[in-house]
Amino acid sequence: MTIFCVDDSSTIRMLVKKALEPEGYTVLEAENGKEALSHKDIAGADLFLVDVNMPQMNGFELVKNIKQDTRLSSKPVIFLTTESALEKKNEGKDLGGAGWIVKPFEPPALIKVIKMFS
Amino acid sequence: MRSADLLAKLTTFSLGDLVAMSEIRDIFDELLSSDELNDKESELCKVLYAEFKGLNKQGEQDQKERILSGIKKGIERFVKTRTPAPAPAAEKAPAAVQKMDMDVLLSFIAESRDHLEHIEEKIMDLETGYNPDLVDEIFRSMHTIKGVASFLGLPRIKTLSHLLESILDKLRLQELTPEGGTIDLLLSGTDILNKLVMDLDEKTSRKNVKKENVDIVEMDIDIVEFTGRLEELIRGNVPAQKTAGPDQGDDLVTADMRQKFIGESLDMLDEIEQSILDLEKSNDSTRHISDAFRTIHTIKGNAGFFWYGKVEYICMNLENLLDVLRKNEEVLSVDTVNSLLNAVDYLRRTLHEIDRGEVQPGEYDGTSIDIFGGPEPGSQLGDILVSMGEARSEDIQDALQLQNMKLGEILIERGVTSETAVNHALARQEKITGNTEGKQYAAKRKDIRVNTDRLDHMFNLMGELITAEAMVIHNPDIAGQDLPNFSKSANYLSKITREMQEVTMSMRMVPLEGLFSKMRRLVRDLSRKFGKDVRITISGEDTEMDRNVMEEVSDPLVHIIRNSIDHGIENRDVRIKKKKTDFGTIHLSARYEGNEIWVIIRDDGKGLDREKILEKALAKGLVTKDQEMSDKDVFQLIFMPGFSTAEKVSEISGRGVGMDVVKKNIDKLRGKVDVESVKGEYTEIVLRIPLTLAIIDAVTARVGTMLYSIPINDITSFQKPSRSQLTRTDTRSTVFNHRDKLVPVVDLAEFFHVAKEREQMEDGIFIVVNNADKTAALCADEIVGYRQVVIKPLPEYIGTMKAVSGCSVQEDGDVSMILDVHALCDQSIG
Repeated sequence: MTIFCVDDSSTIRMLVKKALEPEGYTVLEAENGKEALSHKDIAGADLFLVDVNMPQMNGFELVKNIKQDTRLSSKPVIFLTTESALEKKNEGKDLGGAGWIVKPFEPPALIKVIKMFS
Repeated sequence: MRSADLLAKLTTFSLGDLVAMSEIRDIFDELLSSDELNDKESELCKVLYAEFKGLNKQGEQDQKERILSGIKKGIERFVKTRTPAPAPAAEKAPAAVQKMDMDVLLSFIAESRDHLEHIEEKIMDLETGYNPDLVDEIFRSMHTIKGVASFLGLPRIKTLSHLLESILDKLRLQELTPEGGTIDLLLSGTDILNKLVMDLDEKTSRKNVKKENVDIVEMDIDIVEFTGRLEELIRGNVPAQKTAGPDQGDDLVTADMRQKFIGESLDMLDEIEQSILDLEKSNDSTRHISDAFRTIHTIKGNAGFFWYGKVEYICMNLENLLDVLRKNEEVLSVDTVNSLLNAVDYLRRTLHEIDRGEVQPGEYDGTSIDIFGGPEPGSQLGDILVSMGEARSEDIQDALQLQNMKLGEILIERGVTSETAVNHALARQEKITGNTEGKQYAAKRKDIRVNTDRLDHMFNLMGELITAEAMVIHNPDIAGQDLPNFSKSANYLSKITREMQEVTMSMRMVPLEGLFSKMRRLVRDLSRKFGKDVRITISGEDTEMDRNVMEEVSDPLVHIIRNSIDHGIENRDVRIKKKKTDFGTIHLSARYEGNEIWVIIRDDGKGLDREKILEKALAKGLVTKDQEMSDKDVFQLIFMPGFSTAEKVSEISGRGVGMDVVKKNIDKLRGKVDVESVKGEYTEIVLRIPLTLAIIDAVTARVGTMLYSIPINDITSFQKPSRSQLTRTDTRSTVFNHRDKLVPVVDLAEFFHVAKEREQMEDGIFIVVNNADKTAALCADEIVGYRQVVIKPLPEYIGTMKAVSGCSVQEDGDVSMILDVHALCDQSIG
């Protein structure tokens, strides 16, 4: 299973990679929405882990784009967010996101969540 | 009772919370594998579980909500049959990663540095005008830092970045305006963040040897007071004014006066320190104590006027202790002196705090500080001494006895136990407070850490290697012999040494960007301090400079800029009267020029006043009346030690720091300082720094028996002149028609007054040089060769030679002079 992690923080991407790769997942990376959409392997992604706040194209814009792309529209998008207010968290869900994981998360929790979608 | 847990979890569950969803699934699993449910219930539960699992599939939101409430109702039924429902399991707070993963931590540090490096500039840009994109950018940086810090369990970084983020959010929503106080807070916040990150960096690099996961904790500094201020600002807009720093305040006390007070007090503290140190050495301790006492008393009086309770309190205690010593000299010991010095340091720190606006005027109760003990808490000697001093006045004789005895005990005990502890504490203290003098601003970029001593050593060896190489290849023993194999190997060797030299040089080259952005901050702080609106423009910041050199340039730059703002740039109303822009501008730029890097500081202030400088120089006996001097020479006078045209004592002159420091530092680098100024318009100071300290490519030419090396970067061509190309002009000068341009000829033999072989100019060879828009043709007898030369400074007994920047030893042991083409052009053709 291929997970596409989109986050402007290289540290977060590293954390995700370190958590998922030992579990046998392939992790693709991009720094922002724009970069993600132009990634050559984007069609191969099975699930998106997306940060909300990013330069150039934020997570919400990205999910809109994903939902309009027929190749991708069925792939679940999970937001990585630091928001604590429910309305804020639901904003991404209303755009078609599968849900959210609140930062900071523990690697085992991330793995469990991803397993729900495999 | 897993079913009750399940219900509790479900009640608080909101669709989309994926972590909670996975936890609920776990509880379902546990419930089904336990024997909590009977068969029938189990069946139902399995159905509910399947429904729940379907919730993460894509589908209608409303429908999912309905399914969810259905599941809840189903579970409720099991729970009702079981009583009592236990309290829901306490929500476990997401624990931060305790053992830090080294890679992750390193990545965080590098990332934070990237963010922080540019944040300061951006914040300062904000001050000149609100720009939503800029705020967004800074916000995002803070947001990222916050996010990652929360993973790594770095509470201070997290809290700080969180609060700063909130302020930026308010700016974004325009609930706050980017005025001075807010910007100040953002800047100091960034400073603290920088400090914390740098500290982590230091700690990790220390532990770098073992790569396993280690416990690395944040620097333990107290940020509560600061975060309090941030919180106040976030809650309401009012307190931003309060924190706006030392510029505010009532009309009686101006920022100028405060500066003067701090400067003066710091000077006096130096005197006191000297007196205290003399105490140890001399027999005449009474005089030194009285001196110190008197000076402290002055500081105390001044502090009272400015209403700095803390300073007054410290002074008072110092006075008391000195009073005890004055009346009872036996008490004097190494430890007493240490205590006194500690108190002086404490006072100095407090003054710096005032300077930075961290201490505000007001009463001080002084209960919590131990001013004599140094930064180590719990060493109470000073307090005890002082309280004894006070007790003494009530009952002199008895107390004196008691005092001597107890003091002895205390002193011994203290001497034994806490000497090293104090040193440790001091070292730690230094790390926390010591680097606040401006070093922390720009986070340095690095990939691996190498001790610069080693680099320097390598640099020296490189110089030796090149000399050695030349000695072998041009060895007189093999001169004129046809040695094809040797030449081949020699060429190969040359190629490698050359490459190695380039690599060695580049290792220490860093862009000036960091230094320049430090100056931006300086200009900002100083312009506020002096109450002048001064802006800075910067260009050429990507010019690279040797790191060692850059360190030497930093101080002169600070002095020049301070001077510009303090003395050069006029007050607002003066500027308006003179029809200048109402704000002053300092332009800071850098560029390569021949073999030099030019760092140029130009201000549009009142310019240098030739007459005034001359007058002053005459009065100080630096020049004589009949001396005829060009503007250039006159302006150079400002760099003479002891020269200052400032009429009033300000922070700079008060601290005894003059422009002579500039000259001294630049001289050390074999550089030059040029000054250009038009009265009333501008002053431009050019620091001309040699590109490298050690090795240059040069062409060596012979004039008579002398050898001169000319840096290759200054040379444009070599010409064999014909008679028709030469024209003699009025006096003794000659011009050379070079591609239809007239180039002045400088006969090196004449210039340096050495014997020449040739009689006619056209018998020699012309080396056409160009430096800073000046072109000249240097006439020499012959070209000896082109090679790398290792620059050595001229030996001191030679003194300075005009237009010579150093010398170099040739492979055969002869010495060549390295020409300073710029000076040569200046001096020969004006």
